[in-house]
Amino acid sequence: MFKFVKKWLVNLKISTRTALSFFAIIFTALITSISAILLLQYAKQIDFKLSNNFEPAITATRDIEFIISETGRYTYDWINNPSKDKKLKLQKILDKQYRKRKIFLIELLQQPELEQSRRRLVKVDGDFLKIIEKERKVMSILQKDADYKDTIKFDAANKIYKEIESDLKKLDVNVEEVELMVIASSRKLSQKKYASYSTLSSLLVIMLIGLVVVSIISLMITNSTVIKPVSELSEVLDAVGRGQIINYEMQIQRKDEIGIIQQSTVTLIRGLKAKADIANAIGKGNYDIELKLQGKNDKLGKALIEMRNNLKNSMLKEIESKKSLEKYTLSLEKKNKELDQFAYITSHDLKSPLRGINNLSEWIEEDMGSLMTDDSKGYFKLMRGRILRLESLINSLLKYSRSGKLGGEKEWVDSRDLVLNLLRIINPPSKHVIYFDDALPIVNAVRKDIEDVFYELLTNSIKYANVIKPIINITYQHVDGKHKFCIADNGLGIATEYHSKIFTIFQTLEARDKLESVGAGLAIAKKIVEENNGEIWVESEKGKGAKFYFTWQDSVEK
Amino acid sequence: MMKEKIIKILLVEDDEVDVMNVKRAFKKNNVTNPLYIAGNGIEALEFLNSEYKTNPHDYPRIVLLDLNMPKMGGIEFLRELRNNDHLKNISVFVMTTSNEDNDKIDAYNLNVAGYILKPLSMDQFMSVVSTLSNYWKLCEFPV
Repeated sequence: MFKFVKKWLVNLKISTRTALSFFAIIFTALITSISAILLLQYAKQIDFKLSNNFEPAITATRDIEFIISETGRYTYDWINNPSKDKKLKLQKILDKQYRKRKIFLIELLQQPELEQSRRRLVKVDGDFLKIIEKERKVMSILQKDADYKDTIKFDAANKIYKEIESDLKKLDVNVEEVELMVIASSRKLSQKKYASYSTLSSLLVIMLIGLVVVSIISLMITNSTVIKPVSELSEVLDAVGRGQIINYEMQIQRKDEIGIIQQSTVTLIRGLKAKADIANAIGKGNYDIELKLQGKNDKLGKALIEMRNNLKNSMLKEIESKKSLEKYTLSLEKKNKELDQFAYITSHDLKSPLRGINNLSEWIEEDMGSLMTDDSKGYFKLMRGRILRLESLINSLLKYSRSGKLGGEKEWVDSRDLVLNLLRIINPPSKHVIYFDDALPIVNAVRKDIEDVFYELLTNSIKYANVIKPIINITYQHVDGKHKFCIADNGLGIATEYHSKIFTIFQTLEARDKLESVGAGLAIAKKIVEENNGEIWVESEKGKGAKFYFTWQDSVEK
Repeated sequence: MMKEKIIKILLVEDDEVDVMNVKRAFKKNNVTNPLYIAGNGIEALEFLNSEYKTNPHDYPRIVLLDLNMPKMGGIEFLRELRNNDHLKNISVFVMTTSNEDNDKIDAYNLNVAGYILKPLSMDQFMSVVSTLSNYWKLCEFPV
């Protein structure tokens, strides 16, 4: 029932509902006011009757009563003590005063409520008229003073008087009855008046209660159909304002203004939700998502489209630059490979004619035999020495170009074992004393690379430690997450100005003829160390030995 | 007594001095096996095929092979040779300047009998050839 009413209510406009409740209040007030006015009017009429008819009627009845008693007294007085004046006065009462009072009273008793009283009065009047008749008879008997002394006449008059006296007494009772009847009617009427007053007061109470009830109902309706949904809506909108897009659907379809606002809110939230979904999709990298604009002024939609397009463009640009970078890297790798190939092939192709020259010179020497002078033999020896050096230069170049370039799997290499093995292979002269740190670490490296580095540094130190008692010391430290190796000798030492030069290929500090050396070892070591993100350097002074340091990454590289 | 059968040897080499070197070494070590020369892989294959056709019982059974040659290199030649049903049993000695691991691995994967680094000097080569000639003599015994 309530639901049905509510459904009917929410289909009305708020203004209609307001007007309805307003009219309900006005109507209630109007009905009760009119009833009150009518009741008052009624009571006023009763009042009017009471004061204009009933009260004078009572007074008039009393007057008549008085006149009747006066008639008796005057008659008695006049008979017992006759005088002309008394007779005249009596006549006046009977003819004029009574008549006047009677007419007035009958007039007053014309009211329907006094009908009974009036009838009674008419009867009383009839009786009194008879008494007056008798009075007149008495007066006609006793016309002159002499008549009073006439016993016969007097007795006759007295006899009538006696009748009159008894009649008057009866009449007096009747008149009193009339009076009582009028008073009773008046009381009845007064009661009616009081009844109407009490009706009026209860009507006012009912009106008050009715107004309160109507107001409460209209408040309740307003609360359930306006205030509740509006506060609900404002909560939803607050949440949306805080960025929380919550689900909002209408519980009931309604056609009033609230319904319109709810509809707008639903549209707003749906729009926002759709945009949020699209923004999320764009955030996740879906740049091809379609976006429908909600109209010309859909700024949010336009901003989203712009964002999507910019992101797409930047993604495309990124891909492009990545591609070009990859291309560049590929071409660099190709160039590097070509360079390696170039160095390798060149060295190779240089070697065959060299060998040819060597062979030919040997054959010439063989064939000429004793025909050759000692000088010529010396020249041939020198020539072959140069050929040998050229070959070792080519070999070094080959080794340099290939070092660190082979790639290969990284593995865990025990550097202590490695150094031991290398010393076995190098087999240094027995006068050399070589110490090494027992704590040499296990490193993560391509075995060939780290082997080459140690090989070159060790052979270098052994080669240049040409003092009477050569000592080579291999030590190790762990610094800043890196392995730091040191290979120290007590040899010739290197002057500071040459420290950077010795790591360049084919740089030796001694004349080549004095010490057989092509000067590629340190360059090879430097190349490998630097390709493995390490550093290599020397600490030395002329004549005080040299300390070669290099570092190696301690972690597994990605 | 069985008649000794002399094995024919094919030298595949493009460098004239190296050819002379081999010839000299043969002479010095008294190696009398007939020596044929081919300038590259293609020539060598042609020669071996024609020899096999004309004389299927006496074609060169030993090849001395250089790796760096024009037109067809040594490794390529070896691959062709091992794919040839008639010629795949020929013993091949690689003689090269290349000390590359890759070349060695490729060569041994193709079943070579030896990998000889060409030394710079004559003397060293002489000793190599004398070792080889002893081996060849073993091969010459009738099967």
